[in-house]
Amino acid sequence: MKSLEDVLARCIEDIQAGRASLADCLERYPDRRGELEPLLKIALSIEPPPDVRPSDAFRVRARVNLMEHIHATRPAGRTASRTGGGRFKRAVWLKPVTISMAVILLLGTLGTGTAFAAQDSLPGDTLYPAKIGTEQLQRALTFDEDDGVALELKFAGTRLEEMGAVAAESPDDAAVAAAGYQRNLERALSLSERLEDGTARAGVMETIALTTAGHLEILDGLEDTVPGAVRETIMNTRETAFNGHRGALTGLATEDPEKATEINLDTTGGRLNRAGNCAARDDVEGTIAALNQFEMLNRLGQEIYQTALQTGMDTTLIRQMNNRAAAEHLTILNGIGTGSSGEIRAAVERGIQSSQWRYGQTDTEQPGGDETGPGTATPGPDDDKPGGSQGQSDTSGASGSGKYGK
Amino acid sequence: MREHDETGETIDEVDRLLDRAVSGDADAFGKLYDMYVDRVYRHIYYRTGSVADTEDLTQQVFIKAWQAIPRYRKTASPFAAWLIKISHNLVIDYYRSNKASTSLDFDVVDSNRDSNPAYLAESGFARQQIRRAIFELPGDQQQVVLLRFIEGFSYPEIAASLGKSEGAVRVIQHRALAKLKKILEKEKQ
Repeated sequence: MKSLEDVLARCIEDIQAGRASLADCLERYPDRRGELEPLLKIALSIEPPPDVRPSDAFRVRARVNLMEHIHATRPAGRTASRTGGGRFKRAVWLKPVTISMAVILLLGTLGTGTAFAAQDSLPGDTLYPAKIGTEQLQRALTFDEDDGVALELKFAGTRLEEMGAVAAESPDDAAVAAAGYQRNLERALSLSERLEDGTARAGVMETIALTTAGHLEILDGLEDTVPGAVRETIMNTRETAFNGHRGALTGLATEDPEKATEINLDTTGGRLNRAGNCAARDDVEGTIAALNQFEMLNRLGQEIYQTALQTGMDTTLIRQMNNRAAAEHLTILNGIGTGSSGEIRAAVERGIQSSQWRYGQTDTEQPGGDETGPGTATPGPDDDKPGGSQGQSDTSGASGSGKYGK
Repeated sequence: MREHDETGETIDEVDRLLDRAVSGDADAFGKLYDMYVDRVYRHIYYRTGSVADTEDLTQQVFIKAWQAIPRYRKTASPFAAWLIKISHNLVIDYYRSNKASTSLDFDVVDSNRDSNPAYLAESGFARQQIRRAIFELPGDQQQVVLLRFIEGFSYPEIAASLGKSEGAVRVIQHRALAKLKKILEKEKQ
């Protein structure tokens, strides 16, 4: 005889699926009616709740926060970090904007009610100028450059949230947010350059680099979801973030080339992922844009390496990171290039060539590689000298022609 | 097997995104967020009745999910069930650390100024009674009831999510419904 729980479960399934009614089930199991009926009635009275959805503003804000958190907290690159990473690494997990009591007391002209009401306003709203005014006041009350950088990065993140919230409805308002983003990022970079202490400057540059890497991914997501009219604004904003990222890494390289290399490799990998995702859905423009950024980051990586050499530091770890990354990148590039259009294949080719210099950057001899693996590298006295655009070592086995699998 | 999951995406598409997210692809995880944020939000709001708490906890769910996703393994339980399980644990922890009592105080929740009056009205008195009773159930029983009747997962999916056999899930369901009966009878007295 079936257990009561099995009978109960079967009846619930049949009633919910419309295969039987309550009466049918009770008739099917007359000897169990006494136990079954009250339990079935309770089961059938448990209904899913009314449909409740989050607001669009929350969805976007939470997504922005999530992406920034991911990029602020994940280890850069595929290799272990040399340092514990404890130097001036601020979490960029943004909470809703809060205003300190000092700011509230000084908001004589605005009034506290207006200030609070303005916090959630968007470009085009009546209270948006009040929101910007509040930010200006916070800026005026911030005296340290590193605190100023953190503040400008917070505001930049807010601009991205605003873009996401208005993009679907108003390209003009999205452009206002985009212009604000550019100003915030420029201020952050400008403040960082004023820091005299090298360690502090490296710290803020690292923060800017990590934050802008996160912004790139947020903007990728926005580009994929916004209507065509605002795509150009998103793409231009991404260009702003990309340039800010490169500027921060260039600044970081003079103080900490290893950290700069880690972040460079992580962002480079991110652009390759983006290229792969765009290629998978036949987005030629997106694929080429991402591959172009990949190429530029490779060139920057080479500059970072040359900066490291000029300092006379031990570049073993940097070379190991580059070598490992090159192998991974080549695999992904082959995948993107296979079966793709001429334009994409040309961009893949340029990408392969731009990463040639990373091959063979180890101290130990590698087995001879084919074009899908790391090249051979015979370490020698010339290995530490900056090479030409074709790479660090003349004995590199990586193919210069950039052939990839068909 | 359903070709599409509740988000409208094909099962294959979700699997592809999951594979990439497990490998550390933040872009793929972002797309999973887009697909499942409403579901998670709805579940947490049912539990808390507070917009502010729901927004805060929803964000925490996806942070936790990102941290845990390298260990995610595909089972008979859908990805949504994995997220709901994270939500469940976070709600429990949240109320454990924020309320004097470990049980959810639904008199407070239902009169919370964040609660949507329309939501409560549409819910109806009987539904609210059942909801309060569900949250008096002990751990496993509460989870099975929520997963089966509120979220609509099948017995195999619930079993995979909780790491139990289907038989065990049916036993827990029986006990949960019997317990609900007792709670509701006691309320009537």
